Amino acid sequence: MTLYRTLRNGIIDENPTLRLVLGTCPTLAVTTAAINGVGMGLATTFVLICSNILISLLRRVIPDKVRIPAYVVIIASFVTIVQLLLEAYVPVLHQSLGLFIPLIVVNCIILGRAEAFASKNTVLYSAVDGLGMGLGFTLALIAMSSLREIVGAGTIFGVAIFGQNWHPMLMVALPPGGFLTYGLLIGLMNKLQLVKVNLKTHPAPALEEGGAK
Amino acid sequence: MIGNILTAFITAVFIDNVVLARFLGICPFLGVSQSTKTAASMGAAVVFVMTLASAATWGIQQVLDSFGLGYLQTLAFILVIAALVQFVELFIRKSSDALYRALGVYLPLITTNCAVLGICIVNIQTKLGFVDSILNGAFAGFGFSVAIVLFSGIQIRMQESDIPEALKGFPSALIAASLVSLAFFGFQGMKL
Amino acid sequence: MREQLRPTIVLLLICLAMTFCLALVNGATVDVIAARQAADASAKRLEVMPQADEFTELESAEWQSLVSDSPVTAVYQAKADGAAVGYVYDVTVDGYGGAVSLIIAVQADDLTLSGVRVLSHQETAGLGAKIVEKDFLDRFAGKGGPTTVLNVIRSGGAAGPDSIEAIASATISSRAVVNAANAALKLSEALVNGGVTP
Repeated sequence: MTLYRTLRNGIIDENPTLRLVLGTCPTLAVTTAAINGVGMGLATTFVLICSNILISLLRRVIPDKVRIPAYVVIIASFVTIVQLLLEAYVPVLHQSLGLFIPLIVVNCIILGRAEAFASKNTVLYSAVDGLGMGLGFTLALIAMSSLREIVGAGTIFGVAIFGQNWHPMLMVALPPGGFLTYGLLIGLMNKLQLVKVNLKTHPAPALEEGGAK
Repeated sequence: MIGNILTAFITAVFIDNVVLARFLGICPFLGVSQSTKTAASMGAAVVFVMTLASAATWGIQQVLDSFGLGYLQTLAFILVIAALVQFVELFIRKSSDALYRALGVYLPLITTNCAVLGICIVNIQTKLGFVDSILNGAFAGFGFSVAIVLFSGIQIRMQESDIPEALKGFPSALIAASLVSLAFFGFQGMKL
Repeated sequence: MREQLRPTIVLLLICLAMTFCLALVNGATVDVIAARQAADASAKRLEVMPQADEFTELESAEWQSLVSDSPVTAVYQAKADGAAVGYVYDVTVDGYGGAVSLIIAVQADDLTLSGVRVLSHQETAGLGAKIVEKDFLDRFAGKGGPTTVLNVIRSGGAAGPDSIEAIASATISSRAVVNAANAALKLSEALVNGGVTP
């Protein structure tokens, strides 16, 4: 597998949010405004890259028996570093992401990549895998949060894009709308995949179920 | 006193439901709700762990605070929860075979259930006392159970429905969750 | 025995190394965070009381006996060129979705509101969350006066001199802000009458 393939894998083929359906909690909770989606995505990407690199470096040192606790310790440390840096230098984001910054620890994407990829591959590939998965997550969050902000509040990154008489569909920015938007986005991805498969005139295979944790 | 507890219960279960209003613990909510029986078992395991974790992390936080080590909160909490889950698993396996068969498979999953870590941090952030933390943990766990059991009923019905190919699986589950969440939204802002 | 020991030692070493890293990062950021929080709070105070150049916090003993059950959590005296111009309050009230904390400034001379800002809240996005918008908060400027209690009227209703028009479909959130403003006005009057001149 080339580096490019590894990167592409995270962003498109195995997009953690839209194809594997992992890390659903932050995807639903923080995507009420586009800026939150960007912040959450980048914070998670940073943790993913750092933890993938360190775990890959230590993959021959960490005994199999205690690998999960060891990964959790490493991930939790990087999450705390992000939390401290955000609080010090990007306080606005720190406040709007709130509880969901420490909860990056239990984002299954990160532990999943540590176990499935970083513990078996070289440092360079692990870093690229972290970058790809992180960007895939970030792009999905941006798509979802832009959609919810535009439809739910009539703004994008806080800038109003419709005239005075536009009545935003508030429900989209509220919890029920979060579930609905997410469901429709995955549905859209599946539809695109189905069309692609049909175009290749393969006998349409059964749609792969995303792997829930 | 009884009134306060009842208020806290209704708030945690209906108004601030962990899954449907706070967006915590969505993964098991979508993943483990294919049958009502497994959903109920998972719910019971979460109530159990969440209650214990609320008590344990409250104590840890006091220690961290007194040494000025607040920045170790995330690290300490997740380790305590992971250790607690292991311990509970060991204990249940030794003590009750029937209980282990019912809950055993779900226990390891709970470590990465963000509802547990989330509620522990919320307890600290809202400065709850020891007893209140434990109650909040138990009630939030119960709220999780209510949501997941209710939802499993819907999932079962959906398995027999004719759903467009692209919406099968997660998309239709999320859309159904949206409707359940809409129903729970009616409780928002209720003053008790 | 050796086999048992190695995993434990490795795990322990990882824990120690990561804790050490965290201590380093914390050491590097702790002052920045404290300085930024202090700068943030004083900038907000300056926003609601622009003519002041100095804010000093009152000891809680000086004001807590004046009012009972007040949602006010801190009181600052605002001074300009050494002369007192007003009070700035930190207030926390119950909103629709949880606690709303605000900074409220009251002029010393005529006991009217000089400015209101929301520090943090958990109101519904798109509805109650509009309490942070300038459009709503500007409705408070200049309101108040001795013995005045502000009231809330529904959006679009006929406004009197002491009424604040609520945000459409967010009357409870709007009322929370008005309650906070009333608490600030009440305490200001008590402070002036109690002889704690600003």
